[in-house]
Amino acid sequence: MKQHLRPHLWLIAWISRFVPRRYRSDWKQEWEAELLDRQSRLEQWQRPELKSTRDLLKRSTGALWDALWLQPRRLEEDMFQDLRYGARMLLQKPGFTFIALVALALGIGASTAIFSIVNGILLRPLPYRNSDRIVMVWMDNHRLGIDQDWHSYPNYVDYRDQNQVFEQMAAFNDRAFNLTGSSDPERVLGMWSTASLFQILGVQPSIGRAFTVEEEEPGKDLVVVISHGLWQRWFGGDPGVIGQQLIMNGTGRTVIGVMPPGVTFPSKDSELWVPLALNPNGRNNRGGFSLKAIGLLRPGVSISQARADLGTIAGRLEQQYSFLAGYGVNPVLLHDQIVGKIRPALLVLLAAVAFVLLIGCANIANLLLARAATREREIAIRTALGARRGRLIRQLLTESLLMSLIGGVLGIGVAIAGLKFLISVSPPETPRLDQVTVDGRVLLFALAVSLSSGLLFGLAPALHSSKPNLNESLKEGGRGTGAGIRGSRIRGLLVISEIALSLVLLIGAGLMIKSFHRLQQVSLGFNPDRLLTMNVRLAGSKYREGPQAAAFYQQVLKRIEALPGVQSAGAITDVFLSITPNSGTFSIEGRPPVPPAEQIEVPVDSVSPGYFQTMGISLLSGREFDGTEGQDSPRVVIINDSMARRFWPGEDPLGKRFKYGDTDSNSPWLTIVGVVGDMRRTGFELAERCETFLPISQNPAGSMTLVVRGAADPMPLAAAVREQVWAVDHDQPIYDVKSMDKMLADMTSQRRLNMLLMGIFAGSALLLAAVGIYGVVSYGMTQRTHEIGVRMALGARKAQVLSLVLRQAMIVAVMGLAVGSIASLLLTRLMVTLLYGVSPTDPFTFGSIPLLLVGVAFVASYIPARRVTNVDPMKALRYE
Amino acid sequence: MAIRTSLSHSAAVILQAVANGYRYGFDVMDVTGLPSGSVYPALRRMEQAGLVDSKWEKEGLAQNEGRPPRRYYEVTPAGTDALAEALKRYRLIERLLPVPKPKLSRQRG
Repeated sequence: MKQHLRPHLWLIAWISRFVPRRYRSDWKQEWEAELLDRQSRLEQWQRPELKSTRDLLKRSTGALWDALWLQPRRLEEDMFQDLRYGARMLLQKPGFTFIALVALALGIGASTAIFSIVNGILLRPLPYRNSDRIVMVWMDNHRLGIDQDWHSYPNYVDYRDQNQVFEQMAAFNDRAFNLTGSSDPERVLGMWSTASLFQILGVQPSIGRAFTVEEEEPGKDLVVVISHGLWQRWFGGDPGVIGQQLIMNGTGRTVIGVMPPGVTFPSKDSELWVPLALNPNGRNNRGGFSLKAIGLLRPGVSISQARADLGTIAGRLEQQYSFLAGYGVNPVLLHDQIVGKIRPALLVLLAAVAFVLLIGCANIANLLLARAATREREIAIRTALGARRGRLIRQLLTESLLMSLIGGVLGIGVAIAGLKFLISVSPPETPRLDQVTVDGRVLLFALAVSLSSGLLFGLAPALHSSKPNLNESLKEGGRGTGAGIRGSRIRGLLVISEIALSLVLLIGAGLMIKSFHRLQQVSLGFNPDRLLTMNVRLAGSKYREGPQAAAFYQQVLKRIEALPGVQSAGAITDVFLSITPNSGTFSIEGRPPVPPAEQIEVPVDSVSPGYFQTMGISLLSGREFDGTEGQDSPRVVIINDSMARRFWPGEDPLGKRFKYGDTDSNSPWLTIVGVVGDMRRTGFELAERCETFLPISQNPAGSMTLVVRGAADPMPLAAAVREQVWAVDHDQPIYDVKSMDKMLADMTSQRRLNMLLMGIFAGSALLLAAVGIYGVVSYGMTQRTHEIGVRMALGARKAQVLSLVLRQAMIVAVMGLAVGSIASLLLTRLMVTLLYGVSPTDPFTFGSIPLLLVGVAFVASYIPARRVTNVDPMKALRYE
Repeated sequence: MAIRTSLSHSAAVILQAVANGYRYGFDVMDVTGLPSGSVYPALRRMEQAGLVDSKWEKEGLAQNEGRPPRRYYEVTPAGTDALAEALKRYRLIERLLPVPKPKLSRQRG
């Protein structure tokens, strides 16, 4: 056969290089066979050679399309190959794989768990239509020093009618009701509100109807909307509930509607809604601050626009009514209102857990780098056989991603378990805890975190080891270049970042622990040991007149004090001040009137005789109330130390008189008969403020907290104390029975949990960093065994070698500490709201924690360094 | 399979050609007039979808001619169904393609 030019076959050979390897030989054979067959036929037909060649060439160009069409299969093929290979590599080193997977599962799991909480509490919208437009409108009360105070009804009406920013406004306030009629009286939380509230929230009863504006009139207001839960509990889910009567605080109201499940406003325990029906006095009393206000922003209006608009109205009110000077307005988005307080803590925790994950990734990257050294020869061989760098990187990254995805799947399991734990230890008053679940967004987060960790810990080792030094690695017995300058530099960088990140975490945790410690040391001003507290709320027509209520508490306290095991008992309206205490301005006898804007409000509480003694609050001068203060005797008052020092500095306040309101108001003059020590009544974290206490007999209150000091653990007394209350009147519900210790623990529970979590994260970071340093030094030592052997054979002493190695490790540690200190200085500033009594740049914390880390780094590098220098130089020299 | 309903006109033509006995890629090109860049991807797609099957011809046959064995294609039962379905839409195909003459390549010695 004549030898022909065969450019078509060259073309096929060239195109075949693009065909996936799996198909290549078949593909090439098919095309070659066809072309050769056609060529021989053309020869038989004796076609001119040039024409034949052109025809064959034309046909063979189609092979390019054919090859292109096969391209997607190349990716598939490579991917499966990479995955198979990756899985094999992971199985080959089960120890390494296990450690890495555990680290990843814990890191990804913890991050995902914390993110679930962030997602449920901060990210999910509130369960109201237009939830992003609902705004709480507070009075900014400079006189009492709180920026979320209540409004008077006339002020609310002015804001409602004059504003330009809201579609609607509503007024409401929480209210507790005693439900009677069934076996035991029950205290149920609810609220009264204007009818517009339901439109603002966008909720409607599932059965019956909501109340209307017409029902906001005394006399027409005897209707109630109940929650799904109360409907089930109180009425057994009776579908004919509409029209039935409910006895609330002794008054019958007709049930007109049942809310769907999940609707609870304003608090998560609210179960009743009644119309706000004020009498004419309440409607006109501009000084009676008793209502919260809420509004629905018009679409497109921002909260700052609302603030400006409402501010103008507040300014107008201040000008119009001089006594309103010092009262501004403060709109807050409902979402911020609910979660604003917990947001900083959650974000700090999320950042902390992300740091732990980063440290974990750095550790795995280090392990991979160390392992890459042992794989150097394998990679060098593959490179020598023609594997391109991109292909090797893809292969190595596939391994990391495979590992991180398995870690992610395990991590979701860890997250679900961790979340259960976190929810169980979270304080029950944590807002929106019920919204915290593992949803689609959480799973997506876990996936994203897994993939990015895989890239993070896989990229540096992949880039590094995909570029082997062929000459070195392929040599028989080559020691590999893993310990080369480049490798050790990457490892050094990883350790520096690990140390820096753990320093930030440790300092953060240190600041939080110190804050908590400071809080624990705060002098409360009373003795919390063996104290039992419980709330009683009197309701019903029997106690409408004050003296009956006073008599009720006097009788109850006398009976309780007679109980065996009780040392003393007392009562006060509120042991701890609520956010909006009962308060008023006051005027001191014989002093010139203070301009309204400079007046301050003081909380007004009623206390029983023996209250201060029971609480262990010191009596600084004068006397406690003794029960002789009658309705008709001169009015008396006890003030606290802060008030005495502020208003009667250098004077004896005993015998001095003041009254609530202006000097010409019709409230009676009060004579100071005693001064008591300050008590932290607004919680641990706020400073003491001026306080006034009136005798219960002259200023009776329906709702009181009983405090009982026992001779021993007071909780067993609870049942007996309750018996005594019910012995006086069985219709009065008792709630919130707690020991003072528990009450105090509850007040700091959020802080304690934050501190605990931060401590766990920081501890893990320290451990991981220590493991990281140990790993790097120990690996470096194995690589340098030979060198060390040479040094020692040449006469270097153990101590010299040891100090050389340690110095190198310590340089890395100190660099990490330097970076970490700078980062901490920048980052701890974000924690300010989480700290108490500690500056975010607390010198003690910033000084001591780096020392701790240096110590840990020293030990972590000393152990492996020591081991090598103990080796016999002859053995070390032979070590390959 | 989705490909059954979305058999394109050229795919149907190629399938009909294979069914008519033009079993080699180049023969299909000759009889349909389609370029190799269309015929081969279409054959691969249909093979993946299970409409055609490919085999290698006998070694001996190829050796006689001093070339590697050729690959030939056959219509599978699923392919027959798909073709019948496609012919309802493209009625002219059956008439366009000739029924095979005795095969040249088989007769030469």
